[in-house]
Amino acid sequence: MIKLLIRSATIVTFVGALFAASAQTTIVWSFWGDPGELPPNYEVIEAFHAAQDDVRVEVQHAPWGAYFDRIQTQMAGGTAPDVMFLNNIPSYASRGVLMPLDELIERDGFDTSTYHPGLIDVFSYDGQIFGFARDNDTNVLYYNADLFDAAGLAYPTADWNWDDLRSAALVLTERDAQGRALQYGLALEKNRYPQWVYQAGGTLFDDPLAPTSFHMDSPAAVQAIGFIADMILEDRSVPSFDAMAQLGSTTELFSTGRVAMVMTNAARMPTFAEAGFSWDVAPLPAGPDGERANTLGGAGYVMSSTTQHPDAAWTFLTFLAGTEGQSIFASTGVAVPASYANPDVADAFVNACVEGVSCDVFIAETERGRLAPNFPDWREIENTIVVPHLDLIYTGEMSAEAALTMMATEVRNFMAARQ
Amino acid sequence: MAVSTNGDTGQPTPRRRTNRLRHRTTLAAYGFLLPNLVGFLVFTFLPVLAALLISFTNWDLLRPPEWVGIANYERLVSDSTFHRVLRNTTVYVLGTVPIQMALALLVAMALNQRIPGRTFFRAAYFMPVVASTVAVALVWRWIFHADFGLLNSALYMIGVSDPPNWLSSTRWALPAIIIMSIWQQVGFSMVLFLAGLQGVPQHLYEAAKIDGASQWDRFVHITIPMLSSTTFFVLVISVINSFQVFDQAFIMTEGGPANATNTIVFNIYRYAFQFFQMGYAASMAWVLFAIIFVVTVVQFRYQRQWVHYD
Repeated sequence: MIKLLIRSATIVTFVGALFAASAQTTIVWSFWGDPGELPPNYEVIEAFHAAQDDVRVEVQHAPWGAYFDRIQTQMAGGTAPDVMFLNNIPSYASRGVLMPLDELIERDGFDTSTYHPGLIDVFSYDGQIFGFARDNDTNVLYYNADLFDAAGLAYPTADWNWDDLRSAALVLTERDAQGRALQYGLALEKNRYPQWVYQAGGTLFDDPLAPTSFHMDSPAAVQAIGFIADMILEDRSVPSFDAMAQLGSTTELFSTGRVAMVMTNAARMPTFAEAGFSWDVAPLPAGPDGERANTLGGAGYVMSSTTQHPDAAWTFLTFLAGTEGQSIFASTGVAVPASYANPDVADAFVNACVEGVSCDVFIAETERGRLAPNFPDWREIENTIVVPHLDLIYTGEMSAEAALTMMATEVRNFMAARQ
Repeated sequence: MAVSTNGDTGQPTPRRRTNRLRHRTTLAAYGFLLPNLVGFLVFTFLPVLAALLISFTNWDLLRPPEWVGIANYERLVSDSTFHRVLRNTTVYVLGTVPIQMALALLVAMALNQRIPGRTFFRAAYFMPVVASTVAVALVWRWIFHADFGLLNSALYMIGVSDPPNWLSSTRWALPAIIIMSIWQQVGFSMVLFLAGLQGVPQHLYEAAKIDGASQWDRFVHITIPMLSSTTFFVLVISVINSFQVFDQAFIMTEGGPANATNTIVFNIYRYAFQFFQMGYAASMAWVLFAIIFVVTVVQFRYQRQWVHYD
């Protein structure tokens, strides 16, 4: 009798083990990235596999250029990866291909409070959350301390405003006899104009995610765009955006000492660390009325609405977006973690940062982040209306006021036609 | 006619045998054409037809297409960006094709002489054709750099105090792209002209020389007419290729500044793969197709007046 019991118990255990083994779910996770960016992704998978036995993760990787075509095709065929690294969430969510997560968040009590509220918003559509940002594209002001010393200038501080920036940039610009710049004061990235508008106290739309009105013709926006244009055209302390595309990038200009200051994100630090001069970072200067603003937004993780394994995908998603997953990415020190308000995650970033660099600036500046527009029609509006008009200002062919007035009329017509 | 010869006598006529033979060779010919034909049908003809259907819909790739009739074409009529890209592309075609062909003919004639290093020069002029446009465009971006580019440095040296900002200027960006494209395409036309020149019988030149024709007369009355079929081919191919210009705008300027270098195909790419408006993009593609079709038909019509095939 006992023997029988033991035997049946063994069988039950054995069968149970079999079931457990077959209950292991395999999900697909897709991401883009250059070879150099990939190690933390595999590190996350290893940590996830070590932490639990139920879910196994398979990778679908493609370089940036090929990634989105493939994902789109898979979405159209209903075979999208279970968990995806993605940007421009509203344009996908509005087409029904992403899984809304509110119920799951509620069910498991997943803590979203360590994320910047704006980062939650930009991953939401129609009042529902569709994913979590991995990191934030925070900008800071990098400066070449050697060039500042040589010019006898004090380093940028947290008290700097636009005027300080402009006058320093002018002093740091050097020209040859023909007036051609040998060294520029400051390099900017073309797509960062929203943060300047915000610093001037203006705004692009009333609501960056669900806009009803456009305000790039406001005095504040005119002042902001005009300020950039003046530094390019009048002071010639900032290289024009096309000239910069020709010279390489802000990274190249700065790391070869041909520009004294650059506004860009954390990803450049490893390259700058190899440059043969001393440098540090400072917060973005405040606008004319002391307003501070930084860029908010970045790519992150979402789930496919057609996943066969929503629970397994959710388990992995919460690992990616939780303390452990976020810390692994933060400890690369090249991207500001999206859940920067989680002290463990923030520490992981600051500790991994290049030695001697004021990396807490990145965390502080992320808090000042404000969303750029992000809604389904935005890409079309930006590329066909906004950028061409900004070009006219930056090339000096139109005044900021005239071009922004024209731009605003066209954007308003566009929005009226789409309603 | 062929059918009526059958049946009267019930005997196989010689005509019938030839028919069968012809039938068999026809079949064989189709057999040999088949692989290419299938490729054309599946990968070109059907997608082109599909694009026509798509152009009457709104389709964002993910949701099913929605039939909108000719709404996309109506939108094209009032789309100022589309008017701009039509104009840019036309300027590009008119700017590149004639100059490129004239230069190619000049180079081909020079390299048809027995000059030292002829093979080297032929290879050198052909190199840009086989070089990747991406690499070429990156190099030209440097050449066009306003302050330190090769071009402006040369202009400074010859005394131009205020040379253009090339790619940063709405006025000069398109000419810059035209210059680069000419450099890039000369080699291809040159090779075709070289082949054509080698087909011109030498005795014509000799006879003309004896008759006292000058070098210019020989060029105008022998070279040009004898090359006309080559010229026609080069013209048709160059015009079609130029209307489809994309890489240069994509890599050098992203269509900017202020749409100064935006082209039809770059605009199509944007609407299709950046804004996910497949239907609208397809309607532009069909307008482009119609333009190229009409231009090519006109070229074929008027070739009779200047092209000689003997």
